Amino acid sequence: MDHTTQPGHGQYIYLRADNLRLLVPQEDMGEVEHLNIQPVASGTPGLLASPDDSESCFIALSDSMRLMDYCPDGRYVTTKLPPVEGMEIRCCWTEVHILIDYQPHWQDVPEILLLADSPLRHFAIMNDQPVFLCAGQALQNIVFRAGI
Amino acid sequence: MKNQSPAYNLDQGSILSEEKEQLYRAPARLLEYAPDRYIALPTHTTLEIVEDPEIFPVPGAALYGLGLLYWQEHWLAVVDLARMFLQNGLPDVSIATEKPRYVLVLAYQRMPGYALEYGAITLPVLPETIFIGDDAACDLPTDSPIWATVSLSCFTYAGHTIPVLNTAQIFGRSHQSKLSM
Repeated sequence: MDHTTQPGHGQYIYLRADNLRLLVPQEDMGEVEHLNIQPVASGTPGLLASPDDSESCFIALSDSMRLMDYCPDGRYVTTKLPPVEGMEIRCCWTEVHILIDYQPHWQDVPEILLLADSPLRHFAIMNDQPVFLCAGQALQNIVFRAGI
Repeated sequence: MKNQSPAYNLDQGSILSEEKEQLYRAPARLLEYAPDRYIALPTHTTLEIVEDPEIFPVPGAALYGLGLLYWQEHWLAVVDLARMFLQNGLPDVSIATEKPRYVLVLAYQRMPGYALEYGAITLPVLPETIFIGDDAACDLPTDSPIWATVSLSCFTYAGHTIPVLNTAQIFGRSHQSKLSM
């Protein structure tokens, strides 16, 4: 799935990173893991590392879906992204829920708000707030563009 | 002639009374979208002022796009005109950084006969209703090419040149099509 198509009914993962709220089709996302210790800055901008495992790679997203140079408090849940140039990267979230048999009512983000490469173009309403449809590839592209 | 009471004048073809002058003045909503920067809107396009709006940002959106606002069972785009005009070449526009205290909900039609759609713009200050006559008409400002695309007309008022915006041109076109004008 790319950012222009809307999946229908099925399994989604609800991902929250503070005020960033996403729905990702489950087939686009790898397994969920919990961390005992939050990642720390690795020295490479946008890339985080575990203090007790220097091989692991993590990212944390801001409210505006930009890579952060530190992991905010409370992000102990991770999902594995599709591999980026052979590199396994996990993304840190505040909250992760697997939604089984979810039937979203997608609405289009008004076109006036969008740029040609805006990754989030559709949204559904959960708990009276927009939650944006996000392909796994869109998360992968954030890492690509950062040149990590 | 201007001071002559209409009750004493039987020549209907040649006298403009105060009452008849006012018939030629149309109302407009005057907005200061940035310090000392003004636009006007046709009054029928301005629907409601929302105070302390709850705006949900859209990650990766255009810089002038503050996000989504829920209004009367619609999710509206909220845009900051100062940012939009600055991005389209208008120089020296002051940009607000704080959360807007007010937004103004606007109606537009992409084409005549199409269903009404809605959007919202941020309001640094509350708008004013003014009445404008044909004698105030003037050319569009020349400080940005965007005025030719988004304006219906233009008038002078209190020493300012004020474009009257076409709300369909603000909300009904994509960001990309606006940039390619």
